Amino acid sequence: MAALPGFRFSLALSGALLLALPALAGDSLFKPKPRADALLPVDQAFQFQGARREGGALKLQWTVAPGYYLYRHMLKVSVDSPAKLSLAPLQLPKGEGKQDPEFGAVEIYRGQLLAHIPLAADVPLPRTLRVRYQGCADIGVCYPPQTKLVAVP
Amino acid sequence: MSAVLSRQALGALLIAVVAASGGYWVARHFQPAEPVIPEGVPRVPAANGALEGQPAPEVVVNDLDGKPRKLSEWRGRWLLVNFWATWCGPCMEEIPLLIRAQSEQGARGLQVLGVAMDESDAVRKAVREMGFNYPTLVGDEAVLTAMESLGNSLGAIPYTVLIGPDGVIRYLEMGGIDATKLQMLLNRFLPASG
Repeated sequence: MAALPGFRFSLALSGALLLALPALAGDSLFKPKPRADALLPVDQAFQFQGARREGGALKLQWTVAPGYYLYRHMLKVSVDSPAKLSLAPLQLPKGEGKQDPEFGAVEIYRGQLLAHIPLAADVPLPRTLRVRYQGCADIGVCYPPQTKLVAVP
Repeated sequence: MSAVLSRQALGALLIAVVAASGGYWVARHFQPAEPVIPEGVPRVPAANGALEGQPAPEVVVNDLDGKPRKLSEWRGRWLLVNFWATWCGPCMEEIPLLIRAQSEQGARGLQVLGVAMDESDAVRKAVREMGFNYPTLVGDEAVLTAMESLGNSLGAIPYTVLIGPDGVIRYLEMGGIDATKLQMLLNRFLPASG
């Protein structure tokens, strides 16, 4: 029994160190905040380069800045004008697999992304497309969905 | 007896050091990576720290019933304004922490307020399914404007602002808040008990 007080003290010390050190190593309130200027404006993080006609398809291109990614399931393209025209579904390359803590298994795109929409020969071209996309930064923040109206050349 | 004691103490100390090193490694390992900024790209402050210590501007956003609500309605409480959305994974991860904080720290004067940059139906569903115990406002442009006036010109979320009972901004945080950080934040500013 005489050994117990020493053991308890050491156990308490273990607990204290165990609790204190992650806080010291981690994002402490008392540590200077990471420079918040390490984030890009949304149009720099996800540069949408518009649509172009190439061969029998419409091509849409994005450049995603390093440290950022776009969600595949948040990429949508629809015809803005003329209103009643419809297009073939958007064709996207296989993305990088990501196990998202909230959304489960998803696909994301980094770097260059080239998507295309096949054009049927007998269907008129749209004048304007409505392009929607959304992405996040690896640092753990997300940007609001972006909607761009883009003229088809 | 003292040899036994010192052997036990030494053993426990060794366990403490190993455990602490493990905790330190885990904390360092899970630090988020800083994004790389390409040369020549303008950098925008994500959270305008200069607003800390300044009176919070009046912000008006609709609630889920479409009724305009002002931040000043909660004057007198420690108001933790959390900007979030259902399409934002890091935002959704911290919601359970905020629900727990409201439940456990409400007596200390804490009032969490969710402000969602989202569609009302998606927000209603999340509020119901996750069991929100604090009010939620919703909008798009109005929320972007509110965030901008509270120091976030990027529109990125999650974004959290702590406003004191006197209406003064005490803390701004871009990015997710984990349980440790939230506890430290509340312990730093809120009174010890209600």
